[in-house]
Amino acid sequence: MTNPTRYSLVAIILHWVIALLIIGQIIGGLVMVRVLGDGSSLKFELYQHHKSFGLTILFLSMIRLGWRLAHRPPALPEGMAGWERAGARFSHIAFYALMIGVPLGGWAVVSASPFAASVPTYIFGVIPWPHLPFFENVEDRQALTEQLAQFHEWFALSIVALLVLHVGAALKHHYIEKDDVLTRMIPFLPK
Amino acid sequence: MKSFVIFATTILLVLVTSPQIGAEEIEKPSTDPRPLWSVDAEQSRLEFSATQNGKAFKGEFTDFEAKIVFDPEDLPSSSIDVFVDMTSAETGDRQRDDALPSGDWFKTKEFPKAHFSASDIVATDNGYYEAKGTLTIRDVKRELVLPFSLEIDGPSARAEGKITIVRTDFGVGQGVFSEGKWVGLDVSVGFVILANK
Repeated sequence: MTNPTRYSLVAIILHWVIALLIIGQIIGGLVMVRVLGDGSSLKFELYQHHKSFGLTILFLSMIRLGWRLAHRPPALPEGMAGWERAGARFSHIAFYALMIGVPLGGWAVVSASPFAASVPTYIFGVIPWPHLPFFENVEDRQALTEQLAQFHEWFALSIVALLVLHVGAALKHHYIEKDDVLTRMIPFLPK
Repeated sequence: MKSFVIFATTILLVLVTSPQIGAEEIEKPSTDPRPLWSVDAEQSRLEFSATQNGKAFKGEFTDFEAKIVFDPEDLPSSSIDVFVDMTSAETGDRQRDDALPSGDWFKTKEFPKAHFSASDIVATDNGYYEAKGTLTIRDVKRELVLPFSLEIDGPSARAEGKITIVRTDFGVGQGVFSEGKWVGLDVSVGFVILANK
């Protein structure tokens, strides 16, 4: 079975939609935590949207992982060094782990929070979404939530580091190696 | 013999029925000097308003019952009892309406009703009164003075009043909500009651 030369349209759409959502979530997340003061209505609204978009990323990423496992991606170009292949493989696996792990971590933050009982989650204000069940007997919800939120933020920021590597590598492929690694992820380009 | 039986039966009937006649006279509502008003649930409203994250919101208890005995000419024997079904709170927001019955707020499983009871009513002006009574929410009792206006038009009456209470006085808002950072501590409660005699 030979590899295709381009990513499938489904893979391309999922890639860019998830990419935009993640960038939006990181900016929105930092604004709501670091910039806005407690008790502002904008802060509350941003938290509600952050939950909705985070769960959207979780669902789309799981679909994307399923699609990735079921569809062979285009092969890496010939002539890449062993460490470059290892780097590409590592960063792609890390992306999948973070795309699924960070939203799950955010769900844990919401579920452990002292606000959990009084602020149920409705995805985009419509679809009710439960809290994770493991936190019902937590004594100090505030302390646990602060710890979980810290991890959530660190892992989210590690996506930024990975993104810098990912974009840098794509640009290197396009402008220095002059191969098709970048263009095969751009939608609607001729084959 | 026959006439004796009739006589005895008559005596017996009189003896049996007479205490009932007496009891009826005592319990007859029309002879009760204190008029009992029945609340028109369709037209009456019990509303509240507060702030969440700096934004004002309004809510309503759609289910409450009131026992009102009121005579402006006989205030000492007048009294007001209101029972509010705490599960009936609606604020037009699903997140809030899900939260209100929960343990941090009304805890309706344990405390399904709030109760206001007042039997000390004084006139403050023509058509204006103050009811000094006890408000019980979550089993916490607080004395308060409820001012209200009242218009009586023959058999029907319209009462209107408003009071601000501090929700944490009654334990409404536990944990992080015991301070007013996210949800304001002051809650304004207002009512319009239409009642008929």
